[in-house]
Amino acid sequence: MNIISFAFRNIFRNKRRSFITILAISIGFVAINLFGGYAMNTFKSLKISAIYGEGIGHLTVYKEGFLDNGTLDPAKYMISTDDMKTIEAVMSKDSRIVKVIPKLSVSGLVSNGINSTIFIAQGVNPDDEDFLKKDFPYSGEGSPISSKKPTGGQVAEKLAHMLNLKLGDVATIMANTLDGQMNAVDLDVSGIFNTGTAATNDKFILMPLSLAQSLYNTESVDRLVLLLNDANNTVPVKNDLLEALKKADFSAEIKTWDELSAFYSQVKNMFSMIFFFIFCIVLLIVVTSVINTMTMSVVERTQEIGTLRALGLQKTRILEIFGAEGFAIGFVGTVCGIAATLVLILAISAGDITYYPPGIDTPVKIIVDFVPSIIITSGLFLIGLSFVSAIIPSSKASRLNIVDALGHV
Amino acid sequence: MLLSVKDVKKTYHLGDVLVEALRGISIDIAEGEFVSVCGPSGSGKSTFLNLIGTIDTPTSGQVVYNGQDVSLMSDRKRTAMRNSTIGFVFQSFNLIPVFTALENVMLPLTFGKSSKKEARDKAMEMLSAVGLEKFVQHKPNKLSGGQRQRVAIARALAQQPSIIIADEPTANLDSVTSFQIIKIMQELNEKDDITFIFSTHDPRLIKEVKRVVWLEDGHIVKKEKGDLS
Repeated sequence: MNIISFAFRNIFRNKRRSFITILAISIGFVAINLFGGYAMNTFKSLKISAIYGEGIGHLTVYKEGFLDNGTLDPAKYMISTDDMKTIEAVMSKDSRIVKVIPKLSVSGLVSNGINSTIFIAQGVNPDDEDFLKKDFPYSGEGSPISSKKPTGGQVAEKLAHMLNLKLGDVATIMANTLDGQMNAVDLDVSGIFNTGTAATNDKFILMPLSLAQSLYNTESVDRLVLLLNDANNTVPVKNDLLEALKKADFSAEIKTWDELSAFYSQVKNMFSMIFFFIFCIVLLIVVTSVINTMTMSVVERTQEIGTLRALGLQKTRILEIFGAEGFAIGFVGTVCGIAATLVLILAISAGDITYYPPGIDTPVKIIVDFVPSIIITSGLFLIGLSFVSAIIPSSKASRLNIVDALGHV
Repeated sequence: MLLSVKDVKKTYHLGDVLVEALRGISIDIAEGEFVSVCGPSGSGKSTFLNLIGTIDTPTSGQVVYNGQDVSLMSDRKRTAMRNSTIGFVFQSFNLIPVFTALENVMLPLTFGKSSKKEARDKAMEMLSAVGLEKFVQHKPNKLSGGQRQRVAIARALAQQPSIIIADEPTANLDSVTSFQIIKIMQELNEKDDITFIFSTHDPRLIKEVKRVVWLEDGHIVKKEKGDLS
């Protein structure tokens, strides 16, 4: 007796019941695939956005202690030009490091001559910025920072609005130098752009590194952003670099992109929790549907079970028969689910649906990735679950008294 | 001796009532016998057939096949023995509806050690023996009652068992078909020396058998064939 063939024939004995069970499995499976695909696409987008869009890079190198004490005593934790030479010598030996980008974060007050408000800014060499954001073309008004305009800066949209700054206007930025003296420099508004997040869109300025250094009256930087040839090398490079810098007598602390991007971690944790929740609901639906179907099937086929046992079928084969039926139901459900997933992914893609996520000022298109790892893993899991769910009622069937089973109506 | 039943008793509970279905039955059945078990309803015919079919266990006493006490066997061994030694024909045919006639006959063969080809060849042979060679691909719902019972007989014969047990095999058939079924069983008994034990109420069928075992109230009652009224 070919158990798989027998199983497939049996699931079509009661077409309506099997259809509903298969439908429940398919819908649950599609829900897992779509949400998983959406989550993976979001993670991927956020990762790229964090590394390149936000300019976090794959790794960021600080002088040890900067993150804890740098705000109180920034001068102590700056990376000097001598430090830079040491670090660059170490990094030049590692071919996995594609680019080293020095940066300096500054903060203070920005004024239009009448009103002033706080700002936070990042100083970066315009050529480095171009390299970092080559896949993120500038979409704001005016032009991005340029090495040809050493005093030109990009002002966040809401900050420009608050101070009524227009392209070509000159704003004054003020801050304490590293020595504690008040300093002020002029900033030409060369670009006005949306940072994408409400938290920074009313206070952020991007400026050339030289301007930021001029404001703080220093030639140092506070961090080095590293771009790698492959994101998978992030942790190995971090570990190797820490060791190499230690040997070069430079105490550094290095953060990976996901450690620095709090938004990425928060979104990932939230999506993971929702995914787990959906997965549990789907498991519950699959288990109850299959157990219900197989229990009814066992009851209806009690006499058949008695006949098979009387003809010499071992108890364990009864388990195999119903287990195979659970497997067949799970298999058909997941195959239908894969087809439905593909259709829905294409439909969602064609639908061009956008939404505003919390804290994001620009519309985001819903894209669902076809993720084979999620589909294969969850598909196999659901098939296995269907198999196990079918074993539960059939274990009772296998223990039935043969005479009672034969007399069952 | 093929089958020895020694002082077998069977009691079971029906609600709060203790029913004594068999009250100490002893009988020997040799190879090649054609035996009918008769008696009124509730006399213990089905219980007796279930016990010698090894699908039920006696409360006391022994059922011995070829010198082996069935009650001493494990369930796995008893099931394997049943598959190779005993064929069943049921009153309601008990064919598997999703299988063709051929697949139904192949079933007990595939439970054993037969290869798929061996099972198919043997099943074809058995279906030919009961005159159903043209219906091998028919599913049970496309067969008449008589044809279904012939498939069931072919299935019982497939493993070439030592004994075939049939519990009222003609109860759901008209008299002409019943007679045909009995004739097939008789021919197989005479030609291939297969032992048949079947229960029936039908006096016309009882006339065709060599040996009749009369049961009343769980006892074997010795009667002549013509005494049944």
